[in-house]
Amino acid sequence: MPHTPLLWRELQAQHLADLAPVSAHFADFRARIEALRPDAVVMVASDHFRATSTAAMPAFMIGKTAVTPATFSNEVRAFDIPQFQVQGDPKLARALLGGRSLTTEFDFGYSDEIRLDHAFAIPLLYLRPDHDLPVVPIFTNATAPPMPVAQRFIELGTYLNRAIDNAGDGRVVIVVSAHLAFEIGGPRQFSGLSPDPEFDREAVRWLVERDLEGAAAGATFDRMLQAGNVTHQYLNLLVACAAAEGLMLQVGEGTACRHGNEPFFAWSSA
Amino acid sequence: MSRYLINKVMLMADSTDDAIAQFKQDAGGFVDMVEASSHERLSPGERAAFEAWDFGALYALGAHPYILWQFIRGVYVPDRMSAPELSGEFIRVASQHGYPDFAT
Repeated sequence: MPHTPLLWRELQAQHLADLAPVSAHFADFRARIEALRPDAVVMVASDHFRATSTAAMPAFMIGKTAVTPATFSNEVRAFDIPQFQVQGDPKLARALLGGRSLTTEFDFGYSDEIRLDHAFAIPLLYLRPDHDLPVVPIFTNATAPPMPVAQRFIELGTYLNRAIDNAGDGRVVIVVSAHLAFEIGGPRQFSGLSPDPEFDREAVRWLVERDLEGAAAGATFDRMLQAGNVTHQYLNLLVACAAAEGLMLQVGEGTACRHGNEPFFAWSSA
Repeated sequence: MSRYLINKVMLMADSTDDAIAQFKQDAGGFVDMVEASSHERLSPGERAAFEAWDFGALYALGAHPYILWQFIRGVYVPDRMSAPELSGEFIRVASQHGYPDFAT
């Protein structure tokens, strides 16, 4: 799902025809999650230097908080995003970490006190506005180079698929927050178009065709930078695609609007 | 040169309304305060860029683009420019520098 923060204010307004498909997708995804009747959400997103910084930057970090607030006062100022809080699921978080010793597959960082920025808040506001589901946030560094390569995001998805099953703690839905080609703070920002439609076509194809080898080879740091300077958050979609092994693709597109192509992908068993 | 410290100044200034106001009132003093919390120091050119609110220079120096945009939006909007005006000016200036390396 997308998390473009300007959407929050824009979608409060009426008659924004280009955003109607985005709004419809948010409503559809909310209904899909309701229908799945999950007990918890595992959410994968990339903080934008609000909760984390390069003073200490984890590659992958799990929040095992009992309660997690969102968002930050500067995001309220800039985007009018309301502040709220969600319940955590420390038991599930600890299971994903591996228990008292970390899983051999991932050297996760973890946090006992963390706040969610708009990358988490925007999808949660649309998917579950009553905030009545526990959320285990997984922070991925897709904003501050050096960052993990695409293959590691794929491996994270594969790991989550198995680890959530092994946790055996109710029904869990994985939500990821991402971009296709996107630029902020560069010469192509706010152009009204995708900064790189060719990348978007290929990036969507990797997901729709489940071509994870192609994605691992093609979604390099430099290729994503060429597509737009914050495109690297596309990597979170690879987590979802890899975690969805054995599931059917229900929705898979970049939805065109004033912010370029917003990613909407959903997999489920039926 | 310290891209890390450049980013830190911007993040601290953009963190709260009070911090933004403090930066706008006395950019040099704000930089002094951030430097006091760090073992690093800005170069004279980096410090001058902050004191002049020169976002083109900060962009060229390798400031993180997302942090930079949120920072200058907080500093310039709405007193000096509207957000669309600032974006237009930013695009014009950034276009002169391409895509500087912003890795720390």
